[in-house]
Parts: sequence; C-alpha cells; structure tokens
Amino acid sequence: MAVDPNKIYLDLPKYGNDQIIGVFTNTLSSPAPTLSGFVTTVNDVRAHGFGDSAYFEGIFTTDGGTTWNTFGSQTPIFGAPGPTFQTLNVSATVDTSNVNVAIDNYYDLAHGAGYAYTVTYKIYLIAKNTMAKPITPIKTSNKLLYASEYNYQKIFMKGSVALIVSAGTTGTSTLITHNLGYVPKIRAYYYDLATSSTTVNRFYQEPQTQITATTLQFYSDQSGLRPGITYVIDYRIYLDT
Amino acid sequence: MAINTNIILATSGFSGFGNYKSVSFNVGIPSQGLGVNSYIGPYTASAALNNNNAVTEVQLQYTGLDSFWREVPGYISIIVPNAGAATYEVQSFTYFKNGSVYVDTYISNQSGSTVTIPAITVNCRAFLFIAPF
Repeated sequence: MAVDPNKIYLDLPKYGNDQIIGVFTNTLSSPAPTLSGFVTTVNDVRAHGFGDSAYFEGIFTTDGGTTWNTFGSQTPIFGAPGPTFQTLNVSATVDTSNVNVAIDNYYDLAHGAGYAYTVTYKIYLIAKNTMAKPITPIKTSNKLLYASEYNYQKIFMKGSVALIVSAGTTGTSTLITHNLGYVPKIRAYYYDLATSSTTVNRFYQEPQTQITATTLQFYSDQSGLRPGITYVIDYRIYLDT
Repeated sequence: MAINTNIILATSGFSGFGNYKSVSFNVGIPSQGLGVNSYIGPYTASAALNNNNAVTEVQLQYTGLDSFWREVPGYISIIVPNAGAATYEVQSFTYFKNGSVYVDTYISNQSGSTVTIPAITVNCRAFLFIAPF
C-alpha cells in the first residue's frame, strides 16, 4: 500500500516514555539446597556494553512460562506445619559493565525439604534519567520497536532524592509533590553510596515508598540493630492516561 | 513521494512498558489482641490476574494504620509503634500463581507484652505491563 506522506500526521507526545535499551534472558538450573548448606546461589553475569549502569525490571518463571513473577517475589510453600516464605528469590543489580542476576534457593525449614528449580528470567534495561548519550540499544530480533497499539506508560515526573538514615533510627526523603489527584504508578531505583555510586539497585524490601494522591516519599526503617543507609534514589512517576 | 508502509519499522527508536491490565482487591483483618510471641495470618487478598509474560507492579494500603499506598516489590514489612514499647510487625507477600495475584498479610507481636491490633483493611492494586519483546 502506498501512503501520501503529506497526509501523515505525527502527534508528538507531551510526556516521555521509558526507553528500554536491552533485554537479557536465560534459563538456569537452581540446585536444591540442603539443611546444612541452607541456600544455593547461582549467579549469572552478562556484559551489557553501555559503559554506564541502567535501570531495570526483571521477571522470572519456574514453570516454563505459565506464570511469571517480578524479581523479589517469593511464592510461599504452604502445608502443615506452616507456610515457608523464604523460598526462591531472584534479584539483580546493574553496574557500569554487567547485569548481575542472582538466584537464591533457600532450604524449607518448616517442611524439612530442599527443592530444585529451573529458572527462566527476562531482564529489561531502561535508560536512566541521566545517561551518557548516544545510547546504542542492544540489538534484538524484534523489528517493531514502538507498537502504537499499546498505551505506553508516560513519565509525568522524574528526579533524584537522597535518603540518609542513621543506624538505629527511621527516616524519610524529601517530600516529592506531584499533585496528580490520584495515586500514581511509580518506579524507583537506588544507589547505595556505601558500596557504589553507579550500581543500580531495585527496591526489594527496603527502602519503602509512601504514595498519596499528591505526594511521594521514601522511607527506611533502620531501627534496632540495622546499620543505617546512605542512598540516592532515582524515581519516575507515571501519568494515568 | 510515496512511502511503503511495509518498511516503516519504528517511530521512536525506543519503547517503554504498555499499560495492559489492572485489578483492585482487598482483605479485612479484624481488631484483636495478640499475645507475646504470637502471630496472625495469613489474611489473603487475591484476584484473577494471569501473568503469563508481563512486568508487574503491586501497591497496597493498610487502612486503619495510615493512608499511604506502598509499593510491594515481592515483600514488605513495617514496624508499627504502639502504646509504650508494644510494637508489632505487619508483613505482606505478593506473588502470582495459577492465574491470580495474591497478597498474603501476617502480623506478629514484636514486644514483650500483649498488643491490640486495630481493624485493618489491606487494599491492593496490581498492574500488568506489556514489555515489547
């Protein structure tokens, strides 16, 4: 079909999208842990070639792709005498050279068993708020990079805040005001300045988000014997459209 | 000049995550006393939401404790100060299984005396995002 280019109109978006710049996937065997070993860990290190770290979102499956879960999710093992929650944990960090995926498989103390898994993961690398340009995306076999039938998430606000909480205390970041009038979807990543100012960490248990219809704030509980944190958090707040 | 639409491959060069499906669901936890070294749960909130290849986001709100919504990146734990030193811990786990999304919540006594848990409703929102590859 031929199209008259004079009749092609492009409505330039007011808000930007996330920019997925690479995808890694792999299938790995996670051996069953024993009582004495308690946990088995499989690390998968993949070079990305950007010369800079990147945000990321990861999902994994243990049933051949029937059900996927986000990194950090642990499906409980139920049954008497009680559920076990620390089961199979897939997590990652992204540094300036590599994607570092870790598969931790914990022994089920409640039921006295260890389980082997076959884990397939996908990890999507996303350009950061500030990232050295130009970015050359990692080539994929996908031919259509932007499929217009999807309603892509639009970034309403983005930025960085510090979250510094001393040992034995609790604390919050600066309050971020978005005034959207509804509770938005967000993504956030942090740099642990005690270990690296460039390695991107995804939120797992800590730190936590506190979202309202007008604000976003980050919180950390370092009470008790917890060691304290010095984090820089990059965040994105998405528009509901 | 005519354009062959069969060779128009991209309009942006990059793409993000497409909004796909969402669901809201909740579970109630009644007010009750909780003895030393005791816990209650699971209080399970769930809804049909089949994740067969999507990036997810789950948020929850503990009404009765505060008004915040919180991201639940698999697991969340908050320590709730109570009268005096009587604190308790609220933990929620989220996962997808058998075509549904689940949020399981437990509350455990973290103090040396009985604590009274207020009535709590765990409001949840789960989102699936289509990834382009």
